[in-house]
Amino acid sequence: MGRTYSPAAPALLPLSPWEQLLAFSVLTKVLLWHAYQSTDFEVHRNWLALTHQLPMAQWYEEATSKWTLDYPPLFAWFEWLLSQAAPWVDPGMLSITATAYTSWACTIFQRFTVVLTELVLWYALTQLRKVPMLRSSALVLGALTLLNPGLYIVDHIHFQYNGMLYGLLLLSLGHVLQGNDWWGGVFFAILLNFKHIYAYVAPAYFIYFLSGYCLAQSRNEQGCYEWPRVVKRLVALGSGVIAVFAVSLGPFAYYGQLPQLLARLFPFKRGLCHALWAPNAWALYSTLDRVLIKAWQVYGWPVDATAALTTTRGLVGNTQFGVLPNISPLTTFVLTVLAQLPALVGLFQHPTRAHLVRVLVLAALTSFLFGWHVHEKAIMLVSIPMALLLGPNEPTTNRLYYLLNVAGSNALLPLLHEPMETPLKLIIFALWAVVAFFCLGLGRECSGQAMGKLPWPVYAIRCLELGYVLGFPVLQLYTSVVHPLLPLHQQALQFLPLLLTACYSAIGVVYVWISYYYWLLTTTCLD
Amino acid sequence: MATPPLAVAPVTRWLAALTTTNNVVQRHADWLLLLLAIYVRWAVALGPYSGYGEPPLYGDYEAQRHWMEVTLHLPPSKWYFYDPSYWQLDYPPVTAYVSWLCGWIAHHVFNPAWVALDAQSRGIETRESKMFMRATVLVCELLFYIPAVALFVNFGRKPDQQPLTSSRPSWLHTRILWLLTLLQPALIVIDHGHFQYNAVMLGLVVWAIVCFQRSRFLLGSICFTCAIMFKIMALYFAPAIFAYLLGKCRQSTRHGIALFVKLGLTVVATFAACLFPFLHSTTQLMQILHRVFPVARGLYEDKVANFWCASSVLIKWRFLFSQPTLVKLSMLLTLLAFLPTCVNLYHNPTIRRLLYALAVTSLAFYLFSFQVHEKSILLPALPITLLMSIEPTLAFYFVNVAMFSMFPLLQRDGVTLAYIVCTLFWNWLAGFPFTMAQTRLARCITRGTLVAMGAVHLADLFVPTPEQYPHLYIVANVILSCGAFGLCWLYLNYKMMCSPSAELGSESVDSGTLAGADLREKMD
Repeated sequence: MGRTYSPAAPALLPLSPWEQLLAFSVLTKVLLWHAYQSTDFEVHRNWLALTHQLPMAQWYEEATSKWTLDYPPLFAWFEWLLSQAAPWVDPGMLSITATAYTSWACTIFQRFTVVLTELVLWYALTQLRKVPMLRSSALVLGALTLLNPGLYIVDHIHFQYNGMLYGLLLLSLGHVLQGNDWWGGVFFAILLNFKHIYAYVAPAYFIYFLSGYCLAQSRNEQGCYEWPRVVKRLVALGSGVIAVFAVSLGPFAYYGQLPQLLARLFPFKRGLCHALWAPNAWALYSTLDRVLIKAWQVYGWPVDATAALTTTRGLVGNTQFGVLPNISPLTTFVLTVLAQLPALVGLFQHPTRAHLVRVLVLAALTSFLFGWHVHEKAIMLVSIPMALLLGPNEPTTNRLYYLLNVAGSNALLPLLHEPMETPLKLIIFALWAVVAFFCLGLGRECSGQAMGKLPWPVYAIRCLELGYVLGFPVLQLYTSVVHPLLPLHQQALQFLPLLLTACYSAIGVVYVWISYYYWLLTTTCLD
Repeated sequence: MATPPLAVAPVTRWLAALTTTNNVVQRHADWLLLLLAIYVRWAVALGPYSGYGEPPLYGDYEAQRHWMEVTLHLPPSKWYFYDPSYWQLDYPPVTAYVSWLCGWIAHHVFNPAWVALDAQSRGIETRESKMFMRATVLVCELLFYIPAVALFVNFGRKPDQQPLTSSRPSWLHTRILWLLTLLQPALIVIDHGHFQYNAVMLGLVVWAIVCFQRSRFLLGSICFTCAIMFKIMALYFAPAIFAYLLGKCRQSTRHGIALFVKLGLTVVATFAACLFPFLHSTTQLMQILHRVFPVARGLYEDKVANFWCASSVLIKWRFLFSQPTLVKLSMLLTLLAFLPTCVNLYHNPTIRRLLYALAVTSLAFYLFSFQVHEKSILLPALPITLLMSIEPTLAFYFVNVAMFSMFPLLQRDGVTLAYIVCTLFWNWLAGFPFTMAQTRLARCITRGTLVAMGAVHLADLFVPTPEQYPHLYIVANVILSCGAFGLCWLYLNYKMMCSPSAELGSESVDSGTLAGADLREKMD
């Protein structure tokens, strides 16, 4: 700016860029408080009520409402803490009921707690300034993360506390990247006791702590392990982690609640795919099966009758395939482990801090692609920590981060199925996609000059990627605008938008997984 | 360069940072900012509206929806005679035509049940019908208001255009004005929260200003006449527009008379065209006149921050004078309040003076005329918002007080959340410029008002209303807002009258101060 304003009249509230980012984020998110309320809103309302009304021993027994408590104990304690403030706002929200309770005071209270606890994420992002390799890009990646469409859609409209949970994950990773491994491990243990979905990335943490923290950092000048030091570190970290678990699970073990708690946390009765298909390998697999059933029927070959009949098959409940072999939980588990094994071995051999983040992202992505009953919301488990890999000199990860976020956010859009929210979700998605495209330097990369210098196979791939991204507006135009206006009430086409969205995003996610894996195995271990 | 207070605003810094990333962003920043503005509007639209869930009469939302069904199902001859007990059509015909179009679309494209006549649809509040109604407001704003604002803020960028500011506005400057004008909270909360179509009338007025900027006087007068025929309240601007056009006729010595005659014919023809379906009968015209001018109603509606309501604490006007006397008295005071400005404008008709004069006349009507609503503050807020580039402190001060004065209404409608967030968002984006006035006196006034407004809000929130004064906080609101509006009116008059004509009146650009003032200039 050419001139500054006269010091006689200082600006009210001079804010730093980080505080301005927070202000923008909070103000645009609070505006969404009038949005529709999903079942998750009532789920969390019920948890507030039951942690407030019942003694701890009954938390995991209570089943008046069908939205029973199925998060680990620290999250239950978190709800208990929030419920202490709730009577000041509206005591009615603390009654355990089978039916949903709604009041504007309750809405304000719950939505406010989401905005408030998201400060954890903001704080964790501000701390990334202190990581040397992120110093120059911290603000950009902070903005892209805090304003991520996933947070707007899942947390502030749909209703969850992901902001706080991903904040804990980034705090943990931030501590590791700054060299405070012990705190990193303890924060991760805390996070696991808030929400067990983070167990997806636990193998990467485990290997890093085993190989990097305990072994590699205990070598002397000659490169030999100093075993007393190894044991000391193992005990230090182990006692920290075990203490967290003891505080969290201990009381429930005392009351003999552990089996019930575990049964709630790991319900294996669910189907392969969630009600809304996550954009993963199984979405493509199910679609392929669907297409094959049609082909089989045309040629008159035998098809599993039950599978062929149900057109909504796979969208609700258990999945039965008509032509392709059925998938068991064990298959998905083995596949998930095998698929990330090479990267984990790589991490074991080169347990650097930066490499932990890379492998963690891969582990999360692999679990998302091949896991059992994955929610579309789990894509944030990849898209948020992947921001740590961004940088002005990281064109590959910038590009893959962008593709993954666009594909993942697109798959989150069907979560908001009410027509009133459609313009908002599309604007959030579009604004983020356009701004991120240029903030990540992809505009320069995709310019005619830069593209012209590429060898032709790379050029072709770039064109395909660009075409893929440009396909999203077309896809959304159809699924969000044209399809609802068409007079199609036939069963067969009812799920077409969901199917299209999941499959189109799944193609991108699988592509990112392959490219990312290739990049990880070919160009790492240089730090 | 932005005017000083805006130069340090977050919006300036963020826009500057954003645009350095890529030329493509710079070229398409308008669309990104527009998307942000639509986001805010639609998020406000998610909330409740006037009369939400309040049978049997509901509110403005139901009135507008009811007009859609009346115009759709009945011939024009019955529009202004239909059922006076339930939201009778009391807006001029262009509103009726727009209602007819919306009703036609609802009936033929979406769901006829939303606009079924009378009992079948009264108080319909399904999610789909609400979405449709909200969408009509947004689409109307996108068609009428927003393009006009785009043309207005960009005017002066080309060498042959006379900018509003003393120097030629930079790319960044126009972008800041674009975003801040779009996010002006008063219009957003009333149109998208409370529910009305003010953006159509205000948009037509901006179109008129845009035409005048380009010396298209005939086209501009058509736009302004349409604005009056959409909502009669646009007459608040009429004295200033009249004085401006008359002044232009006087200026152009050779074709002055011809221009005057052409303008007169254009206005008459536009009125005739707007009233075409009703021209055949005097009863129809008289009925429209009768419905549109509510002289039969009270001196003011509810509690409004104007002279009559604020002074009624001390002087009980309604008991002192009869209704006809009050009408005459208010007309006289209004005339006195805007006449000097209009004479001044007549002698020196420039766009800058026109904007000041529009603000003065509409504020005069708001403060002194008969039967004023609290929402009428949107009218003076329009020219004052457009003056943002030269009067940032005043613009933000005025709009904040305007928001405050509408708070009782918004609270009743359940639009409190939008009230808080939109006001904060707009002020924060601009860096709270109203607290950064140039002189000590102005700073005392702006900050003092801010503290007083905060005190009223806090008291309203935490201290229960005393039993003997049930309207205490509303009266405090009215007196405070009225005082602030009075000060703004004085200030605007002062600027009109006392600024040397070189400051406000010259239409030549001093190109010497333009270059080097802004580092962004070279990005163009």
